[in-house]
Amino acid sequence: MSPQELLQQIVNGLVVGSVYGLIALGYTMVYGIVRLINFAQGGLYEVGAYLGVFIFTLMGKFSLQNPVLAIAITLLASMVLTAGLAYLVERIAYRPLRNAPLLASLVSSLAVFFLLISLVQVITGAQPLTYPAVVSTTPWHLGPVVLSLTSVVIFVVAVLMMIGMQVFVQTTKAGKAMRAIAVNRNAASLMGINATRIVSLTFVLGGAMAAAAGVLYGLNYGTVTYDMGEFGGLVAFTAAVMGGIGNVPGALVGGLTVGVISSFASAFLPNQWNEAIVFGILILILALRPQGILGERVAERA
Amino acid sequence: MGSTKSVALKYLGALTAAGAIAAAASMAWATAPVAAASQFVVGFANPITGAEATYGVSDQHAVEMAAAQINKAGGVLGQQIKIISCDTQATPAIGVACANAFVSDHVNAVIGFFNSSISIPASAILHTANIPMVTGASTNPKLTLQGFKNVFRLCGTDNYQGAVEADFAYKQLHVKRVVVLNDEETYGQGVSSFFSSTFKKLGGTVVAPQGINAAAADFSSVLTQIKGITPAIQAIQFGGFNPAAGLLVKQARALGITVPFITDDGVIGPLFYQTGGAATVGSYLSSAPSPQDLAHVKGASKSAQTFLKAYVAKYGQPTNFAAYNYDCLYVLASAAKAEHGTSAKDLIKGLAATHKYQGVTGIVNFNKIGNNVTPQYLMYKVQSNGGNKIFWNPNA
Repeated sequence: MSPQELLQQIVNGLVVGSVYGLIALGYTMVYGIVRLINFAQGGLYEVGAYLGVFIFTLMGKFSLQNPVLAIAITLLASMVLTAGLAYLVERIAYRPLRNAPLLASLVSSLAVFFLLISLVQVITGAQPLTYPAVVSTTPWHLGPVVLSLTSVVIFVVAVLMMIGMQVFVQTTKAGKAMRAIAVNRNAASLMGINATRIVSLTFVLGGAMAAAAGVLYGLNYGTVTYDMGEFGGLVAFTAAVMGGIGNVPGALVGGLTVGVISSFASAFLPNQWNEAIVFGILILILALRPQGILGERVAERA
Repeated sequence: MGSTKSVALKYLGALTAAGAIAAAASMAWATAPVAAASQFVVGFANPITGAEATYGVSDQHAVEMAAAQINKAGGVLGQQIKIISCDTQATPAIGVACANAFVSDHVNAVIGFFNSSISIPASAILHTANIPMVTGASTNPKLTLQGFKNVFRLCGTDNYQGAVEADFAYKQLHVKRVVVLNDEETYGQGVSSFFSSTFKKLGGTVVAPQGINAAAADFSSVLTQIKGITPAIQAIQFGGFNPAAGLLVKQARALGITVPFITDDGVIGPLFYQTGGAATVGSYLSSAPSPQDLAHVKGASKSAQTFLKAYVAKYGQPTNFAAYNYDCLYVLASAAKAEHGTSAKDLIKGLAATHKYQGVTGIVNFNKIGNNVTPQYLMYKVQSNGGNKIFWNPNA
C-alpha cells in the first residue's frame, strides 16, 4: 500500500467513523447514567436522517439558497424534533419500567427500535429517498488525498459535539447531576436532584446526537434507506463498546477506531470480510481491556 | 455487564425472526380468501415495498392489466382471473412465507418472485405442492437447474447477461483489466461470476473480485484500494441492485476513478440516476430490452407498442420486467386453453408444450428445463438527462 493510499484510507475511516461516533455518543450517555443499552438509538438516527430530507425539501420550497444556512437549520431542526421524539420514547417506553429489572427496559428499547424503523417504512413507502444536492460534492484534492466538503463537515461536527458533550457533563450543574445519578440514583434524589428530569435530559441529548449523525450521513451519501438504522445502530453500538461504553470521548474514539479498522480491512482483504474483522478486533480489545479503549469515566462507579 | 450485551444481541436475533413471522402471519391473513371454483387464481409475489419496490409495483400493474384484459375477453376457459398479491419486500424469509400462503390458498399458478434469492427457495415449496410457477424477472440459472418440472422462466439468465457484458467490455470498450464487484446477493453474484468467466475466456484479466456490503453504503475504502491497483484497472463491473450501484459509482467518481462502469438490469431505472446523480452518466448497463425498445428485438410483435400505449395511459412508464410479467399471465392462460383445463397437471403440461407463442416480449419457447430460449440482452448507456439509450445490440 502506497503512502497516499494509506492516508486516503485513514481519511475514509475517519469520515464514516465520525457518523458511528455521533450515534455512539447517545448509547454511551444513556448507558453511563441509567445502565441501559438503548437500542432505540439506531431508530432515532434513521428518523433524524429522514426528517432531514423533509426539512431540506421544505426549505427548497421557500427557496432558501444559502447552503450553510440550509445545513445549519436542517441540522438544528432535525435534532430538536428527534430530541422531542426521544423524550416521548423515554416517557412511554422506559419511565414506566423504571423499577423493573433492566432486562425489561432493554427489550422495550428493541421494540422501540423496530417500531421506529417500521414507521419510517410505512410512512415513506420504503423507497430510498435522496437528499437534495445543497452542498457541492465536487471533490477537493488536498495533496494526494481526495476530500469533500461534507466529509470535512461531518468530522468537525462530530468532534465539536463530543467536546460540547464532555464540557456539558463535566462543568454544568445538569452534567454534575448526571454524574451524581450515575453513581447512585437514590442518594442523588435524596440530595434534591430531580432524577426523572435528568434522565429525560440524557435521552433527549442522545436523540439529538443520533439526528445529527443521520443528517450528516444523508448529506454525505445523498441516499437514505428505511433500513439504514439497523446497520448504523449496530455498528455504533459496537463503537460505543469498543471505546468504553459510558465514556463520552470513548464514543468518538470507538467510532473512529471502527471506521479506520474497517477501512483498512477492505484495503487488505476482500470487502466481505469487513464485519468479521471489526468484530474480531472488538473481541480482542474486550479480552485485553474489558472496559474498552478509554474505559468508563462518566460513572466512575465503585 | 458482559452478559447483558450478549442477551441483547440474542434478543435482537430473536426479534428479527419474530418480525419475519409476524409479517408472514399478517400477510397470510390478508390473502385469506379461498379460491372459488369459478375463478382462476394466480398468486403474484414481488417486492411491493422496500428498496426494489419500483420494479415490483410496475410488474404488479402489468399483471393486473393482463388480468383485466383476459377477464374482459371472457377469462380463462370461462373462469375469471383473480390475482392474489404478496409483498416479498425483497427479503427471502418473507418471500418464502408468500409461497406457503399461496399453497394454503390453493392458487392455480404463481407468477414471481422477482429476486432470484427468493425464487429459488420458494420454487422448492411450490414444487412440493405441485403448483406451476412462471417468473418474469428471476435470472439466476440455478432456478431452472433444480429439476423442477413446475418452474418456467420467461426472462433471460445471468450467464447470458454476464456474458454479453463481458463481450461488450472486451470487444467494444477494448478493456483488458476489470475489477469485478457484487453485492453478495444471489443475483449480483451470478451476473458477476458469469462476467468473470467469459471475460477470462476472451483473454481479459479479472482483478480483485469481491463482495461489498450494500447495507454499509460507504464503499470508499474498497474504491481507494481499487484506485491504488497497479497496473491501473480499465473498468469496473458491478453485479447487484440500487441504491448500492448509484452510491458506488458516485463515490468512485468522487475519488477520481474515471474508468467505465458496467452493470446490470438490476440497476437500470430512474433510481440509479437519483442515487448516483451526474456520476452515473456514461455508465453501461446490460438489460433485456425495455418495453419501449422491444421493437429492436427479433420476433417482437407490434403488440409491444399496444402494450406500451395501454400501460403508459394507465400507470406511466413501465420498468424493465413489466412486459415479461404481462406475458407470464398470457402464457399461463394460453397453456390452460391448450390443455382445456386449469389443474396443475394441465397447466404444467401446457406450459412445457408452449411453442412459438407470440408474446409482447417476443416469441416464447420453453426448453426442457423451463427456460425461454428467445430473450436477448442489449447494452444501454446512461444519458446526461438520466435516461437510458441503447448503445450496443449484440444481435444487430
